[in-house]
Amino acid sequence: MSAPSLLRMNPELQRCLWLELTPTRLVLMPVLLGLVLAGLHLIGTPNLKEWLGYALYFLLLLWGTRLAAESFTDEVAQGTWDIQRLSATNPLGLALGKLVGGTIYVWYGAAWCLLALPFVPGDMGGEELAGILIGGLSGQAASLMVAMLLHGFDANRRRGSTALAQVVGIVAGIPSLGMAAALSSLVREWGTEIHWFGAQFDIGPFTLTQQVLTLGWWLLGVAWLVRRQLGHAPSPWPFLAFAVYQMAFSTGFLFAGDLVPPLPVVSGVAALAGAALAYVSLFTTPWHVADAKRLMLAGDWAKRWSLLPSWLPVAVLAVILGAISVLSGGREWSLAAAALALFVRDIALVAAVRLLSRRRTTLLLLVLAVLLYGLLPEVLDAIGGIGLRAWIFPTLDAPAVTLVGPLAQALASLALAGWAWNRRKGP
Amino acid sequence: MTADFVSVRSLVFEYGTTRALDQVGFDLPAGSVTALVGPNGAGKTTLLRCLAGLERPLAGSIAIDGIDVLDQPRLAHTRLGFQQDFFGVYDELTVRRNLLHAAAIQGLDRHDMEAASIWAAEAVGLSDRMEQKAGALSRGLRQRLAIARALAHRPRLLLMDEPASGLDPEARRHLSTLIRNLNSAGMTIIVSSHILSELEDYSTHMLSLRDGHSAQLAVLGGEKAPRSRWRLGLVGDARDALAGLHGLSEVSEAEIVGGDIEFSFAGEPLARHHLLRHLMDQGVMVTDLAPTGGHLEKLYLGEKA
Repeated sequence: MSAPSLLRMNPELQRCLWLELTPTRLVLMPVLLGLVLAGLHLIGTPNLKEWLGYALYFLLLLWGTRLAAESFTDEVAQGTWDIQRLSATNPLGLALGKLVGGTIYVWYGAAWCLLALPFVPGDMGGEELAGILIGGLSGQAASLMVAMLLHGFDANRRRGSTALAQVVGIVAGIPSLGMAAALSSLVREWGTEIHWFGAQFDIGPFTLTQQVLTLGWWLLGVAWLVRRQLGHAPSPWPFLAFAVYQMAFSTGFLFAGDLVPPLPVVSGVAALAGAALAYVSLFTTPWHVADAKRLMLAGDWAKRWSLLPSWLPVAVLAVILGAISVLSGGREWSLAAAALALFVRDIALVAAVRLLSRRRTTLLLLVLAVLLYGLLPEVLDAIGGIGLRAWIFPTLDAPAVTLVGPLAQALASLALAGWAWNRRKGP
Repeated sequence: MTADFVSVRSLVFEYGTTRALDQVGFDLPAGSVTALVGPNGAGKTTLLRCLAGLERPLAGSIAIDGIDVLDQPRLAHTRLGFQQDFFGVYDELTVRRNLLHAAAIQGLDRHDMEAASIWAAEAVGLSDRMEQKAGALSRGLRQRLAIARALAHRPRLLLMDEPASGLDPEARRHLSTLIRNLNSAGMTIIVSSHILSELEDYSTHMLSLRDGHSAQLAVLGGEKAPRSRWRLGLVGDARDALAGLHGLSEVSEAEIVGGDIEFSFAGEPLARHHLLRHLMDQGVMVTDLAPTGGHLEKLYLGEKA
């Protein structure tokens, strides 16, 4: 494809090709890879395919995640990101252009590795190779997404953002550490097949499919953040769709063969998955006073919906599912009710901290989380045992009256958040 | 000039709890050149960034060519160009590739992209440097490239934030000519600058911001504009010349200032010619006729007073 055609189709990809694929670099990559392979061959390494796999890991994960994050942070640092934000480009096109274009040099190296693969001795299965390639792209997408999320907290921060984004990208991309593959490792101990919504699947294709779907969600996430950067309202739809998908995915494992789990269990598990995602979103979404005011000043419900923070509808959904679990006669309804109360408490606490503290809010919230969920239970156990703990935390088989504790905490946190809002809301 | 091209209503913007723009509203006609003036921190850059869809205001609406910027930011981007107060160019790309990329991200097709890059380079005087990397250009030339990038897709509205800062006198003169030419070609332009004397050269409107609280729009050109002040240089008795000016309908508020005469006058070229011919017929020895300058500055300071 000629440069003008590609430029028309995806300007960002063509721009990256101009910058990344210079003649010198095009020559350097195969020469270096060839030298490494020749060296390994000369010292008598028997399984060169395995080493090519390591090379792919190095290129796509260690280096590629760095390049993916830098494709965004470098533009912010050089002042060119605001130019991109003024474009009329489709957000998904810009996201793909940045993801593939920013990492095109390591993919060029990966292409040389794939070309060499049939001609070197050793073993590497197709599934393993697919896992590395999909994992690499997933890791890069995750890295780019994290870099963009961190930009929302502090537009001037760069170095720390790139490193953190790279680490998250590596974790998300290494198949043995990624979410889908962790699941695969877990279920491997149960056998080679997996039950999901009553159907049987081979673990290999199942986890590979999950990896592909996860990659799709990463790409959607990046496109969603790009869309916001282009001036569109946030819109909670993409994260809500992701949360519903994850809830369905989690509950699918409750159906084994002909076994249909009771409603309180299904809704309870879905609520837990939703609550976990709401926590993740709550911590990774900046929420400023202006955002809250904008929401309140919005002229109609459609605008209000588009301005909602992404965690809010997911949290509401989790609360509704939790309430269904409680009301539909779950044996541990008081445990579920206490968990719901603490969920509301945590949301209110995060809002209060974000309003009252202007800097290092994430660090402060992490310290608070360690205190509340790490230190406090130990102290309570030491002082008064399970009886005292039940007044503060959701506890199995606790009497209903202990619900007063979590409910009081929720009310106190809501009052704190209200006070913080009145103090910070300004004119 | 035609109907309102830029419409801003009740715009409110806050940084944290600091209100940068408070209920700002104005209408600008198509084909106008608006000088956006105000002291540092008045909210000029914030207003331009809101107009460009780079910042989302707390409340209010912005329409450009009938497009709601907040609802359809990408469509609005096809109609506007924004030259920001820093050099937003890709240093490692050549001038040609910078301009091709600028045209491509606004959705131009491949043939239009080539034509747009050539046109934009010519407009800012960079035609002879198309294959030079942006990073190798001088500050002034990089500024020109940034402007060329902003207008490569021939936007109907051009926003310029301090375009003359850091430019030498020759480059500033070139910039003034460029703005006049773009305006003649039908482009509506908003220019933010501290250098009021330069804005005066080409502005038809003045929009002043004060602490972001309100926007005052004044018409500088056209029929609605207040007439500018002119100075007539003389040899001989100024009282004779003053008498010669009486009875001319285009001239008003004439007075003797330091041996010369100052008066309000529309100053169109043909009217100037008729005025000079009239005075010479009366035997007045004219040495010079020129605007007193500082019209915009006086208007701005007058508003402040």
